[in-house]
Amino acid sequence: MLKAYLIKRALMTIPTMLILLTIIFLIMRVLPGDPVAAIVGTKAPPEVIQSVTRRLGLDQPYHIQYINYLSDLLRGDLGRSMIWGRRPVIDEIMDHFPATLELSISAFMVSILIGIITGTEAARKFRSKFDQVLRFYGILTYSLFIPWFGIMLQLIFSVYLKLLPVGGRIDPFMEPEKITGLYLLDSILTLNIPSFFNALSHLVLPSITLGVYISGVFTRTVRSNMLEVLRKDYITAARARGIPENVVVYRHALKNAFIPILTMMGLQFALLLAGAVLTETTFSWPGMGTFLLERIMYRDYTTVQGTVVFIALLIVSISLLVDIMYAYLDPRIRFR
Amino acid sequence: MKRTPLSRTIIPPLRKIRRLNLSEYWIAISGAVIIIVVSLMAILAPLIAPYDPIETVGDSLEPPNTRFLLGTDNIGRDILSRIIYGSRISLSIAFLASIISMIIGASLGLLSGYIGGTFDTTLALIMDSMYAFPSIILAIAIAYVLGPGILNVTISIGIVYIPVYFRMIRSEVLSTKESLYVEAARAIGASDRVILLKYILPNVTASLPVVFSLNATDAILIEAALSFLGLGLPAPTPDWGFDLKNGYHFITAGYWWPVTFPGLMIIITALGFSLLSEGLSEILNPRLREV
Repeated sequence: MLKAYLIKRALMTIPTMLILLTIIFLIMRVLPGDPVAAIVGTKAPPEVIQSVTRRLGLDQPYHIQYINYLSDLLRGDLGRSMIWGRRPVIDEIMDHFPATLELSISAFMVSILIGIITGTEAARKFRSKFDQVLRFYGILTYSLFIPWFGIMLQLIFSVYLKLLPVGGRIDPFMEPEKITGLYLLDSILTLNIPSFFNALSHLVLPSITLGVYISGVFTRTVRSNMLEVLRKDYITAARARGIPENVVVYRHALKNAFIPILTMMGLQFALLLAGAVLTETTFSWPGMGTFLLERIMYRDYTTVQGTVVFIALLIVSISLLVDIMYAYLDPRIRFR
Repeated sequence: MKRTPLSRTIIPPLRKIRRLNLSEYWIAISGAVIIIVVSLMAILAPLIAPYDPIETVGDSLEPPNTRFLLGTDNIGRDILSRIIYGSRISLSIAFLASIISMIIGASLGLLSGYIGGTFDTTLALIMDSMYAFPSIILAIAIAYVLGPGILNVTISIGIVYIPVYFRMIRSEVLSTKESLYVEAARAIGASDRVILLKYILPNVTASLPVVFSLNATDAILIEAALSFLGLGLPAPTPDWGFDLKNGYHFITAGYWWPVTFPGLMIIITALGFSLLSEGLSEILNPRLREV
């Protein structure tokens, strides 16, 4: 049963992926913008325009371009960068991906922590003043403009208090030996303590910025799930047995509310990535968001397209992964 | 069986409406107030702005003082005036983009849900895939290809929100389509057009205001983000996101005012729309309050 479900679920990603790739193709090639002008500028001499057009295969009819585009992707070829030694785009992405991953993981942990505590407390004090305040917190984080929030943190903690660095991922020459590309993990693995603390100090502000941004959604999810669970008979039974309220809430209830919460959190991955792009540019964090924007400024067309395709792939695979995890955790899903 | 007197069936909802006092509407009202104030700022900009927003009127980076209430930016422009004028760009792009997405998304959703079949399945799959993709990254890609400018930014933001309307309207249509009054209309020989516009449309639009103001929230934020990332409007147009990016270069020297105020405006305006959306959804759907 589980196997059948997993196969069905995995097959469903194919049309989704194909559609996303088609949308990206339409945006990058068919939309009434001029990619060649975006690369060389509008004032370039005609022979330059012609050679760039040919190099990108843009002189072919759309359906040929589309087939080439898909077959290249199928072979895992995202093309080559248009600048600086024309490196394969996938290599460039892989240089920046660990930074985004590290930021995402730590921001996710920040938001889970905030979300679980605030959501649980809001559910316990249902409809109290405190509940209302947390509701406002949820609305506020939804309207939070990440760059501004990040800049305010930079002003307070870096410029005035001088506690933490303004931006970047680590100080020059402090990088740990590369194993996974995640600085915190690598510095632990190589027992490089100075690097660890240096990387950590750079990670704090961006993680808080991104973590707070997503935490509002989690507060709501946790709150509504906890409200449901706290009404259940086994919670009343636990209370009746005289188990301390904190234990009832944080052990009995939270444990049972956790699976739907975890799934909801997994589904927020797109939000996390969107937030990461803005957080990275605010903190000069050398991840994929900063990279994408940098290449947009350099008019590196193939890299921009490749990075967007990579992000699409990432999202589709993460949502597949979340569903698979969910199926393992909650047997009811398999029998749908 | 004891019949319920007619008065009993009618009065409860009425009583419920009367019981809803202002304090229960506080969320929607505070949102509406913010939006009205910002809109007034935009409309009355030439009357209330103390200076020309693109003219150098003071020294570079003057802190807030009596002449320049919110200080000046790096080329001596009055930040207060730029913020006031900035509301024009921000609001008009947000409104226009939201209207574009609403018209396209809602009509596609209406047609798709009503026609059904392969057409519906395909379109729904396309919209779902688009929906899964982070809107800001989609907007960045579109804005990059289209190039800078007010219209292009509006289009980029307009496109990314289409799936949200589509999904909402479509699911409403799917359930409304099966209702008795639609069947009755079909039985008396009403045409598809009449059924769609007269019978289905009025019954699927209840949540539109909620989605629209949520859309406006995101539109404000995405517009500011595109400008902040350098994909928005060209200088010297007064724009909150652009001013934030401009002031960002000077924060390490401790200049807090060029970044604080434009950013605050972005958040306050976005907050206005999301409060309105939250409040409206509560008013339109009282069941939500129980949860």
